[in-house]
Order: sequence, then structure tokens, then C-alpha cells
Amino acid sequence: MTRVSFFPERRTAPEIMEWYASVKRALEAREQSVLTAIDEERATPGEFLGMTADEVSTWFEEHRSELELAAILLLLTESEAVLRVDYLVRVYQRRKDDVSRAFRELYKEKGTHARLDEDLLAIWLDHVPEVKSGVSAYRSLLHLRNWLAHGRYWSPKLGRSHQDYDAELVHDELTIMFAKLTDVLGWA
Amino acid sequence: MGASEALRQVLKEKTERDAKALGAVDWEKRKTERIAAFNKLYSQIELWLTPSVSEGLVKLMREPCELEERHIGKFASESLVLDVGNTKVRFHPVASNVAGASARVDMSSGARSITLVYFSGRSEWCFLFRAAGVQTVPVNEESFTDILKDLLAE
Repeated sequence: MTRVSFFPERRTAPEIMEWYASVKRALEAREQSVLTAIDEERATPGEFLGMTADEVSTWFEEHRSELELAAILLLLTESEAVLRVDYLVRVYQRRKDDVSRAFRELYKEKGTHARLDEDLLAIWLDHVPEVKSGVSAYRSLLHLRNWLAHGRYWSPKLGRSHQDYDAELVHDELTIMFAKLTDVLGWA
Repeated sequence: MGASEALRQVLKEKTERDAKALGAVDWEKRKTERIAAFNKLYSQIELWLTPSVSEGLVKLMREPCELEERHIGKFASESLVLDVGNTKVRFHPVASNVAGASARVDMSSGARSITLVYFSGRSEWCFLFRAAGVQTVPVNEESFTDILKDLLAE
């Protein structure tokens, strides 16, 4: 069995949230700085030239929305990494619990090409029914992830507007799900 | 510090910051300068178009409008309207303070709009373009002709 060499510098969920909060604070500080400069008729960075305060706020709002989506995409890709690493570790360590046994059977058939939703999540649902609501919420988030990861070229049908998602909400939903996945490490 | 006290402190600091900024600016002077800048632009355009007005190629109108800026309050100003064939080109003054400039006028025809900004330091109006970064082009008879031609193109 050729084992996957795990990348040691993967960004963890807490690190992603720290980056997100830091960039969000920087955007807020910069917005405040530009708005104050407008009131005081001081120089502003060139990209804001001619903008009213409302237009500056709209500009920053759009950038904050993009930050939310970028952070959400990072969180969702990290969630997949956690689930896939957990899958492989259970296989490599030949653990004896039901999920690990099912994963070994899956590995014999599909190896590292197991599908996240149809294979890994399906096994979790089969063996740990209490994760049902968490996995259901996660599957909705995977639609959002697919839309983001493929360049947003279609109009998404997500059940709610993509603008209603924010990184903290997604992080909370994922944390709830991971808390119910027995012995899955690496999220929190 | 409790959460409610922290919230009160945030609001207090913001209020004090704004009051300080408000007090540091002579808003009446800024209003007067802004109205003078609008008038300077309109007068220059009217001058360039005088021969065309005489020939009946274009009609010029100044229309009164009321502007409102959050520190200055409401004040009277004017729009300039060019009536060319069956097209109107409107110069509409923007009430608000704008970033990096002392005044702004939006020149529009239908859905198309061009921004003009005034730099009081060099007493100059410029067209502002945002394609491929921000660029300014001084408003002179040549650049005005080019922009007007684009706006009037069908």
C-alpha cells in the first residue's frame, strides 16, 4: 500500500479563522481611515479617488463579501482535508471500530479516489446516525463549496443566498458536525 | 469592563471622533468653494459652446437643484444641461465630500456616466476613469470634445 504523504503545513480551521478575522479587522480599519480622510479632505489611496463616503462603504462591503466567500472556501476545503486524512489514517492504522472497518473495505475498492459525499459521508451516516443533521447541513455547504471552487459560473441554488453565508456561521456549522464524528481529529 | 460598558465606550469614542472631525473643518467655506467650483466648470463649458449655441446646434440650461451633505446640510446648487438633437447631457453636482478631491460632478447621458473631480490645490477639473486603474485627464476643450463625442455616439 502506497501511503499518502500528508502536507505538514496545511492551514487548520483555527488558523483560517485567525487569518479571516485579521483581514476583516484590516478592512474595517482601512475603511475608517478612508472615511475620516474624506471628511478631513486629506489624501486617500488612488483607487478611492472621487468616491463619496457611501461609495467607499459599498466598495468595502463588496470586499468584505469576497473575504467571507474566500474564508468559507478555505474552511470547506480544510473540512474535506480533515475527513480525508481521517479516512486514510483509519485505514493505515487498521483501527477496529465500525467506521474504520467500512473505510478499509472502501479503500480496497477505491483507494485514495473515494468520494467525499457519496462514500465517506455515506459511511459516517450508516454507522453514526446521530451525525445525520450535521452531515445534512454539510451537504448543503458542499453545494456552496462546489459553486465557489468552480468559479461561480452558474446561478447557485443553495436554499439561501450566498450572501447569507458568513465564515463564522460556516465554521460553527462545521464545528458542530465534527464534534459528532467520533475520534475525528484536526478540526478544532 | 462589562459588555454594555464596552459598547457604550465604542459609541462614545466614535461620537467624539466625528465631533472632532466636524469641528476641525470649516464646512461653510467648503460649501462656498464647492459651489464656486461647480460654477467654474459650467462657465468654462458654456464658453466653449458659445459658438455652437449661436449656430443653434446645442441649447444650454442651468437648472436649480437642492443638494444635501451630512455636515453641511441642504444647499442650493445647479445642474447644467446640454440639449443636443434629441439627446440631453446632464452635469449633476454631487453634494457629498469625495475622496481625494474637493468636488465632483457626474456627466451623464442616458445610462452612460462620466465622473469629473475638482482638485482645489491646482484649481483644476479632471475627468476620472477607472478602467485599468484610476486615471485623471484634465478637462480642457479637447478632452471635453472627445468625451462629449463618446457620450453622443449612438
